[in-house]
Amino acid sequence: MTFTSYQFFLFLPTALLIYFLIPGKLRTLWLVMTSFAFIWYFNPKYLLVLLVSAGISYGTALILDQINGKPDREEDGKTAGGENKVQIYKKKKTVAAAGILSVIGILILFKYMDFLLENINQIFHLSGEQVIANPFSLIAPVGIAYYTLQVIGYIVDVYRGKIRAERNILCYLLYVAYFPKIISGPIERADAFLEQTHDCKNWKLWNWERISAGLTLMVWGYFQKLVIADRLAIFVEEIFKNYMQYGTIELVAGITLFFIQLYADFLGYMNIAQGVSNIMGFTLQENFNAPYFAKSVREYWSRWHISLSTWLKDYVYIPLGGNRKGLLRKNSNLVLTFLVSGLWHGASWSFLFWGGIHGIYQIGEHWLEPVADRVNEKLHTRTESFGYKLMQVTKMWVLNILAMIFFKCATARDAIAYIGRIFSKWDPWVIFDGSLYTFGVDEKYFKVVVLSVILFFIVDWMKYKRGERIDSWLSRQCIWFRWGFLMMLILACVVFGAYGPAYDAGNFIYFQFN
Amino acid sequence: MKGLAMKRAGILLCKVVLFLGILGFLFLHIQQRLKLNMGHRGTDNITGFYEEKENSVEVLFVGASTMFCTMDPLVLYEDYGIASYDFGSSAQPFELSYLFMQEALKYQKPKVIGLEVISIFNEFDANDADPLNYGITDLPFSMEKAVGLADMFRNDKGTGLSYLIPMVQYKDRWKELTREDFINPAVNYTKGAYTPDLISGVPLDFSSYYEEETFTIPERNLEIFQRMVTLCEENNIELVLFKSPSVGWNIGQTKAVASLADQYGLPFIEYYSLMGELGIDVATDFRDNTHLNRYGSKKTSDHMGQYLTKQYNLTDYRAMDSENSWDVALQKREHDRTNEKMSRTNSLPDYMSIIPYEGHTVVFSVTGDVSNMEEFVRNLADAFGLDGEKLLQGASFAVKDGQCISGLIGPEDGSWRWEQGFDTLRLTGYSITYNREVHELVDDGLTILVYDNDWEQFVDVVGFDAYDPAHGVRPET
Repeated sequence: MTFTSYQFFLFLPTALLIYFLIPGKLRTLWLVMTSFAFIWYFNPKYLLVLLVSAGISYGTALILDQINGKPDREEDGKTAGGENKVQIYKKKKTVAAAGILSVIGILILFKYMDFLLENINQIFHLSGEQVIANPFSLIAPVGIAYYTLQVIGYIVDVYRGKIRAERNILCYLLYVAYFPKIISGPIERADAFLEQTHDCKNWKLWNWERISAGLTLMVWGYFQKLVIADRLAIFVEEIFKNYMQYGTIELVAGITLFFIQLYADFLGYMNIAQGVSNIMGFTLQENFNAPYFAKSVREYWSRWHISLSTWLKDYVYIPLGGNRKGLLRKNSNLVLTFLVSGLWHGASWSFLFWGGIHGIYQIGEHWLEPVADRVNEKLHTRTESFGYKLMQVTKMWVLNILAMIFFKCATARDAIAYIGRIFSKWDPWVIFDGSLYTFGVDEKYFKVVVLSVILFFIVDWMKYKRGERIDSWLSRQCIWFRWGFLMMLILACVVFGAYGPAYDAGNFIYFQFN
Repeated sequence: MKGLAMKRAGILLCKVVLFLGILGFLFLHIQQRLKLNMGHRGTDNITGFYEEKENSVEVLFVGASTMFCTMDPLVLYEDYGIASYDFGSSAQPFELSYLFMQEALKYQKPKVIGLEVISIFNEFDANDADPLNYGITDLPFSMEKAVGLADMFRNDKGTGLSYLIPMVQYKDRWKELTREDFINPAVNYTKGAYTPDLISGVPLDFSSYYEEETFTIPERNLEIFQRMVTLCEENNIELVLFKSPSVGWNIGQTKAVASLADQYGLPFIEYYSLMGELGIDVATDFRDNTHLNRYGSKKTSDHMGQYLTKQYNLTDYRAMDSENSWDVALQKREHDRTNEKMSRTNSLPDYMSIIPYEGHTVVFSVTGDVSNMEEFVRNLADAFGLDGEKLLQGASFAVKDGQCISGLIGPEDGSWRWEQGFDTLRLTGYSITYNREVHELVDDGLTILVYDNDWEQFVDVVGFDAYDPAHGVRPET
């Protein structure tokens, strides 16, 4: 059941209606039940895996909390239990590590086992040894990559004493399984979300402004998904499926449109999730802040998939030493963090390459920035001019798009071949002879998509310049404009959206990173 | 405070209702435009059905195309005074026939339902899109439709939902919308029948009729049939089963349906076995292997008319004082027959002799070198009091109800425009444009366009070459 399936359109109103009607104290329970039902619908076994991860992390945190709670006695350096600080520290570390490794173990079992064994086999095969078969060959349960990061973050936060362990099991299960975010995040922080799970019983739900904002966000999310992302997907999939048949222009168009598709898809999902949450009174963290207007790759990462970037920073980069241990360690930490990011996205070398490239981009930017500044100074470049900023944004796009080839291609080998063809099969005539309209998106639909993408970036530009989301901006407009705009979006989804019997129900791209 | 809160809630509710109302209106309007017009395969007789006055239909025929190509309600009315309607769709699955019955009974109280049984042997196929689109697209949204589709598509509810909301099926049509999609003539003047004047190329071969001795009706269709019988019983409707003659049907099927009819005590008329008695000619009375044409359906309809009047106490609507929609339909049929005759006439003298000026607008356009038909052109000009010399040089003019309404429009005179309803005619000295379509059929000669004012419809356009006026030229369709 994805957000674009008809089942969801039956599930959501039912879930919301009951949520609004039941007494406040039952809301958490109801949301846990609906979230479980949502996961159950994919596969009942997925729910079991989630419960194991949740159980481990819940128990681990309780133990850590108990250890944290032991008072220090400064006089003799021993606690009431007779342990000294070092012992407590060691114990905490052991418990936290056991919890974290257990949930990571589950993630590896489901998501990375094939990849690991494939590579081990590769090595054995080279040395003539027998090949090892995967005894499990399991399919990654829905949301596993997202909730695993959440529970790790939670364990670490409790370990660090930043938060207390959650004792209310329902609240904790809701934190892990909350259905709007289970598929593709955002990767919520425990302190912010758990607080809401406690508070929700007291919320005044019938707040029209909030509900209206939620519905607006949902409509905007569906517009991005159905009209832009899924329509572009038809073109993009054709190009990537048969990339060996195409030349420079098609391949550049394919990856550029994928770059746009990915954002529209992910932001579309996020807006729907935020919209649903808004209606129910929950606030999910902002996952994007106009990343495609970033002027550098570093800025891009501060605006793109923020919940993952900040998670990686807090729970990987900083524990590795961050930038505190010299330039070499800083750079290696940076690359390592991005490699983890790549691996999190998918168990393949192409994702590792993608992560690695982004790590190198960051180092490169860091080194080249002073050089660029000096050159600009010498040449008296107007760095505040629109042209210069546009050039910077374009540079960010080009670098990102190049790396994105690894992200999109099934294997690193494919990605290299794809890049090779971009630079060797020059075919400018396809721009003029209508060939670009033969990949499943005809000229008329292309025009619709172009107009939609323009609207999409106008809205994103508002976010970039004023930090204002569409629901907030729209709420300030007069009722007729607001209604007209919303109706236009809804009808555009209905008429121009890629759905129905002729289409494959397109999953959200970030859903595959489970 | 409480009163204020109530007031606010009331305003909010009004806003929500208004928003959804406008959105719903726009949605339905767009959906209506995007729906594919299935013509006689579905749209014409389904939308036409809802235009009929409530409780005005006494005999309702339900089924697939073999039903509406076999029973002609205008024959039944003209000869027997029976007010009937063919409510069906092409290749209609049997399950859908039940939905059609349910739907019909919401608006009409027929005394008799005639069910054509060709599809009773076919299993429902949720993936066979065309027959489903023909039958479902134009049925308005209703609980019966929703429940019926949920039942039909019980194994694939997602697909069922896409039929419940036709927009899902046809949303891509926005790219191919034409003027016709915005003009939906809803009234069906054939009362659902489709009986064209077409004759199959070769005589039909019914030799396979005796090949299969036994045939089984699928369980599911038996269940549907039971529901049909119950529905008719509950509404005091007589159910009559019939089967049109068609190649592919065999004696095993006839026996199976006859046995079923016996089981329920229902009449079953099998027209294959009556072909000899009714004089149905395999060479001239069929349009193709499955469908009767105008001449064949006249014979089966006559038989049905006799049967119904004899068996049931039906009203003779011809005896009513006020004009009813079947009278209007007969007038329309006469009109159409005249127009049909025109579109089949190719010789200029013959054509001129049958042009029905009354109730029509006729446009003449003389182009190029017409010295070979000079006398004809001069006579034409004289007939309408126009300048023959100018017409010979090349000009156009329009005649309405026998009177010239445009004057002569020569090449130097710009253009002349005439509108009726949604239709537009534009004349210049060298061409005729009808609804943006330019008709320049001959270089040297005469082009004639005929438009029916009474029914607001295009009738014919034909070009006669000055050197070959016996062979009219028509646009390729």
